[in-house]
Amino acid sequence: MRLRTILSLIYILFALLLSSGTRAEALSSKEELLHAEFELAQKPQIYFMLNLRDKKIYFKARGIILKEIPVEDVKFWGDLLAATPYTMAKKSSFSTPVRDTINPNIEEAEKEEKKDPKEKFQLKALELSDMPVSYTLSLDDNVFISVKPGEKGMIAGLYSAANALNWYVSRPLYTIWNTIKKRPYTAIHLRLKKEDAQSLYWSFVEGGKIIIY
Amino acid sequence: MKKKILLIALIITASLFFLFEITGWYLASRHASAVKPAKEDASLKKRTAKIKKGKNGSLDERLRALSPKGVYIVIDTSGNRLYLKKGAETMLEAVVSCGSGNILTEPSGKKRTWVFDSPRGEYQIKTKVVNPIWVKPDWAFVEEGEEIPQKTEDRMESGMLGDYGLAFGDGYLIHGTLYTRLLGRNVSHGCVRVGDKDLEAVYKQTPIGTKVILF
Repeated sequence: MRLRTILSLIYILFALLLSSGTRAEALSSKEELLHAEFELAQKPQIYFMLNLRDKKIYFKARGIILKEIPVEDVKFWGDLLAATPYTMAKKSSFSTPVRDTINPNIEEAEKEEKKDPKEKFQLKALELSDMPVSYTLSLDDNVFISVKPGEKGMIAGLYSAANALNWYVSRPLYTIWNTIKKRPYTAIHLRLKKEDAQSLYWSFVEGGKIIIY
Repeated sequence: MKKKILLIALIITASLFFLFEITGWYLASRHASAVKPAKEDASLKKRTAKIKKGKNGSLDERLRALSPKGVYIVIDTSGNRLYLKKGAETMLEAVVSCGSGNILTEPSGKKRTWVFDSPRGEYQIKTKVVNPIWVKPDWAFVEEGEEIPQKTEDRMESGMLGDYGLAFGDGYLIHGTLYTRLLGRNVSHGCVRVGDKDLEAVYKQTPIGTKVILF
């Protein structure tokens, strides 16, 4: 009887310790997140917040949400991320958008004027539809975010399967390589709607900051 | 014999590959997944919220204090949309034209290069003008293949910027346009072109100092 009471007390004590531990952890992460965002919101720049749990990306400035895009699917691999701002160092894709060059040559402009109006009007501009839908964002601390479109169809399905295979086969090898090099390694895969992927590519420029949580 | 060696080499390679894969998976599995949802019961959530309010309350308030006071403008340069906002409420949504992203290089002289992007980040309205006169910058003459004039009066052109102009810094303006059919497309030299009705509403509701956030 006495033993049972002692055991019950130990159990309750353990439960209390565990629950307080969880609470402290949750509190600390929320506080870290607030600190990280406060640091970014003080500057007159746009920043991004990727919420892995709720599958959302927020475009923010001064603490306010400018745009919110849903993430269709998230895959996470590697080291846990600290609630600190990461800087985007490089955007890479197979098809980098190319800017049009204006030709100030008068003769060329005159030739253009003489053309048939239907033929003449062709808007030369870098627009959202010119942005890639599949790309990788390289952040500091060896964090990589790969973005792929969530399109349907047979070709898209095959492409998606190939990507999944690549993800599961190549990630372990990257992990070993970076462990040998004593570097952290984190890979995040995001599946977004086509327009959302293009919008993120447009707005998230090199040097931009993101908080991942 | 050759076949046997080849088979052994293949088995060794495959084994090594699997060994690497398993090691990689093991190393990665040492770190808990960040996507795992937090397991919290309702009472714990309540208690945590109470503590958070006490401990992080000031930080929350400080973050909220950074958000624009009163009316502010948000411009989506990729979607070519302007939002006139007050807090979380959207008072007006307008279709606009932002920067084309084109490049212009001076063919002779200093060989300067201009990139016609709309700026990104936070700005504020510095001046407001009715019937603004466009003082054409150098690039406007280079683009037309014309000689850059020396006198300021030779650069002035009225009627190009619509009825109102709101300058938000670095030479950029929110102004009207003659090319209304191109609203919704990226065609400007970096300024934000707005249709007449929307421009009037924006002009009337935004005092000098209004924050303009472009993304």
